[in-house]
Amino acid sequence: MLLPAGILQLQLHVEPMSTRPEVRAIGTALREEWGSRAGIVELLSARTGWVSEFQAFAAILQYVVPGDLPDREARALAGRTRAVYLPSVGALANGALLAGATRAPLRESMEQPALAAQAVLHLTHELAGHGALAENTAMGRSHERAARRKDAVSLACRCLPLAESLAAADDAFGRESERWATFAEGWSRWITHRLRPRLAARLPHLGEQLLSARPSLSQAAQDEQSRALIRRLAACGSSDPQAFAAAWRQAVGPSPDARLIRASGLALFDELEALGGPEACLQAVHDCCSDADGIAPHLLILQRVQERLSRVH
Amino acid sequence: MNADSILRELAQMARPVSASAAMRPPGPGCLTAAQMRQLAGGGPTPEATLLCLTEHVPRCDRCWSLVCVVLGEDTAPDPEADGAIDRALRRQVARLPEAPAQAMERSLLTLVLQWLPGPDAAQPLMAGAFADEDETPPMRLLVEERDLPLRLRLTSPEGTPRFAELILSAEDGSGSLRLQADSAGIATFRGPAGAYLCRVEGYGGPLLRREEG
Repeated sequence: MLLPAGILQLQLHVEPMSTRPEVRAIGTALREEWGSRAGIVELLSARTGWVSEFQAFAAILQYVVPGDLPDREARALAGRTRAVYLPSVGALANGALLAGATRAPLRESMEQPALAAQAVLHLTHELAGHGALAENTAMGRSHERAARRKDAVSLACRCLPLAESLAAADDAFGRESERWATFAEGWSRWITHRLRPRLAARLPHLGEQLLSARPSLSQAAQDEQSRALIRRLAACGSSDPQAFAAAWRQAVGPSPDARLIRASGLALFDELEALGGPEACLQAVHDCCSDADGIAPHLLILQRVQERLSRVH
Repeated sequence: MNADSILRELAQMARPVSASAAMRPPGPGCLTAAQMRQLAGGGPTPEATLLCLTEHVPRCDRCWSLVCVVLGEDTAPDPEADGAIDRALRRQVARLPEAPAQAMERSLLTLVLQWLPGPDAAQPLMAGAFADEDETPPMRLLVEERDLPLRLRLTSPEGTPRFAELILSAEDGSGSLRLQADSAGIATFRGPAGAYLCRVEGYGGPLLRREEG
């Protein structure tokens, strides 16, 4: 796996996974689901790796996340991040965290069905979700072309910077990452759930685990909250990006919760699917990411949700 | 309760001593060679050994026979345990190899806190990967009977967190219990065996298991 020079200098060991059946199944499931539409098939060449040392994964995050991340906070972040997608590099699984140990070699870990299934789902989320947006959309590629690696990584990683560092960071990047996070998480979660049956068919020895992982009750409650949030946002009825951003901040509070971001993102795509089926979700990705300068993806989705709500009520 | 008083109670048991049983290899929960030496040598007895004496030895032929032989006249007389057997068993105990380091460490599990609670600092948000779980999953701890009593040592790259409180919740929902770590960061879990979800009070960061050796 070709890592950015800065990461290579850290001399971290990444075990390649691209030839493993679990990762090949992700590519096959994607091809079966979408064919060559929307350029998603390009993802099949994406590289995938396993980071067995927890400290190594923390060091990678420290390198890619914008701002100066102290060691202990990099470790805390690594403790919540089971996998990450690095644009033009590939997906990295945080093997140690998945296994709940400070060190977890690939071969031994993948022999455990429950752990292997979790790894497959996380990597699907990264490759088919964030990878698709980072590599196959004009928005994702524009950052890569501009050599703004950290910005591109942050968008792909759906990382929201600290409020303090945001002030010092590129304003445009800050605004974009804020708008992007919900959309990217929503797409990634939705596509992962959608691919589950195909993954289970391709990996019968993991089938039960792949299909049985269900959102917890607390997650279901979060989803319900996020639907309420969308309705509140829809009620603001503004097409002005600044007005929308203000409504968004008011709705989620000054410090947006990552779980709420994910849940509301999934709710957006659920609404889209209810509106126009799976094709509508794919079309939304195409529409929202076709502008290299970045449009506010929420606005488009919001518009559709508003239309649906107006028909319902 | 000390080892002597436990042994006096054990001596009241009318249970035969078997040379062949004493020669058997140790099973789960059996006294280790080091524990036998501790008992034979007198002096302070660790809690783990006391627990083994009260809970395991009375129902294990192997350990019961070994204890009887090693402690000699303090235990119940048995016609089988004549002088020859007694001497043979004493030699056997003396020759017991040192337990391998791995076996000795099995009852000590090191849990690493990768971020200690401290002054609250804002952190960048990363909407996690596949998100069916909480931000930081509690660590799953599978405890077998032979691991008990299990010592859990808390450590972190910044040092040993003192007097931390560990919370172990049974995975089957049957309940939870709290363990207080001492000044060396060690908490002792006495069971029952089973699967537990483990977290540290007031700590929201990752908690990982570190293999020793």
